[in-house]
Amino acid sequence: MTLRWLTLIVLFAAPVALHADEPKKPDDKKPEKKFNAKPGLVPFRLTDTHHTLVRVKINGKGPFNFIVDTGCPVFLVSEPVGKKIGLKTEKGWAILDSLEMEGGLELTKVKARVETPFQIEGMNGMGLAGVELHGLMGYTVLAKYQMDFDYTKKQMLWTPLKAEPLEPQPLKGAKGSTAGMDMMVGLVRILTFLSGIGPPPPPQPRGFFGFELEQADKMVRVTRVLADSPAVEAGLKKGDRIINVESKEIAAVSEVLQHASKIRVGQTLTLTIERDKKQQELKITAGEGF
Amino acid sequence: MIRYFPLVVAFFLLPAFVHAQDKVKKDPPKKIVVPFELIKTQHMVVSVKVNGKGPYRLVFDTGAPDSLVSTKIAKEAELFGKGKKVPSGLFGNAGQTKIKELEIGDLKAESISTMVMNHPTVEAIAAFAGPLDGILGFTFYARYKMSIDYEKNLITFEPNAYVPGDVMKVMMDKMMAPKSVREAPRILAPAGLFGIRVEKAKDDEDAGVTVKNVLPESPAAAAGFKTGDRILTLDGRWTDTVNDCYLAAGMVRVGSPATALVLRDGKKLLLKVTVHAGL
Repeated sequence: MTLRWLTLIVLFAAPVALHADEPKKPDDKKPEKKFNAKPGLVPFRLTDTHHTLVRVKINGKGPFNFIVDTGCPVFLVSEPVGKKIGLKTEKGWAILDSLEMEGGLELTKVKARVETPFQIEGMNGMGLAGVELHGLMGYTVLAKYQMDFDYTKKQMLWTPLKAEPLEPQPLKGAKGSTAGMDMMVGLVRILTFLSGIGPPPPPQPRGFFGFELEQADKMVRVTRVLADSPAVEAGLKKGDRIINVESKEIAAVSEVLQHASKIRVGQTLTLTIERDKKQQELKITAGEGF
Repeated sequence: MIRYFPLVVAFFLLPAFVHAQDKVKKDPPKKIVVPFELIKTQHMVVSVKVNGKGPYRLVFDTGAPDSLVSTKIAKEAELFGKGKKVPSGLFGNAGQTKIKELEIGDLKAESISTMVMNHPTVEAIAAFAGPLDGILGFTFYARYKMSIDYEKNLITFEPNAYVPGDVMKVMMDKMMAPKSVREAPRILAPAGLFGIRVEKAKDDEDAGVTVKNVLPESPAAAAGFKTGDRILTLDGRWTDTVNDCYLAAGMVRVGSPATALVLRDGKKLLLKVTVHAGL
């Protein structure tokens, strides 16, 4: 218990500091400056670890999963992803020809650091985020925008700013000041190993049934059964009242969805329905679709 | 490996941690603008008071699911109770606790979850860029509609009634779950009924997925989807895999129209689909 707790502490509230190499000197080929003040909506979701996840395509490849991280000074691509895209690095730095964000915002000639921070290694190693993480979107990209966050919404609003972000600065602290950080890296590897927890298998879609519902006075009724659907095959009819789903009583449409949420293609959903004042059980074999 | 062994043993000597549920707190809904400093390492730093003590300098970190304060703050602000000793483990770790009142500019927030620890990364940054006492993370900022302006170095906060859950508890539950639960695949459940089937061949690396068929009289049929359409985005999200479609479909809202970008006969079309309650 304590061991796993510590793993979390080590992985979680941790800003990222640039550590080893000097960033590449700004070369003659200055980043193209195409100022486009059009704001963009950036869809996001929260990972299981409460990180704000956005998706990007790098040089047309992807999508990849990045954490919006003001605690990281650079745009940081994990090494496996760098390899997959075929990024050419010099002392761990690369220039991305294009960085597209889900929702439509796009940047060209983006400087990126290619390395795998221990936080990402640890979270991916144990599958903690519920999704594979590919990098951290830090200051050098974030500071190009005014960012509006609202966790009651599905999208953020990012408005391009005119000022260019500053060059990243590596840590140049007193001697030994980064020893603790170095220790963290080793710790995370060991803790991940000792936890005995591995990444989960890839997600799978829920099955499809093909009926619509409405709810009135804690009663849920079928309002439509789609033609060619598993529900029509199983004999479900418009007007049927849903009493139970998977042996659980139903008083709301959301409960039907919740109790059916784990049924995969080919598996069976068991319903108790009421039709003509008689209750009966129906089994629907989930098909494919949504 | 061996040289770390004593450390690993040390973890077992960690103090217990405090658990409590986040309360729903209603702050007066008004916008509050707070300045931040961009330090040499390009981290945002804000000045806060903790239980009236301080000011302290915290890294404002959207990548931190929890907040974190140093043992110095824990002692001075009496986070573990008046006159009580602050427990101390590796890196001064004292576990999880609550900040009764956190002030940042004119903004007052109550009952903010935080861990107490002298984080080596924070200390390394501080050694280079000036004193730091911790991190302000998701447990604080998610309660607000927040706007970060890197040009003016200002953050605007406006309460949004969102209640950030206890991520450390969620994670502990996840890690302590039986293997069979941990290793079960996640199921991607759509939020409502579209009435559409999509597919993508293994060797197909182009953007989007192909519509296999559209069920008659379904919301997808009403929206104008046709067999063979290539769906590029749904509700603003890329749909480059079948799973991507299900993820996007899991986030649309029943009854409110979502837009899909579709490629048909070489032309891009926008289709509006309103999903129904169903499955």
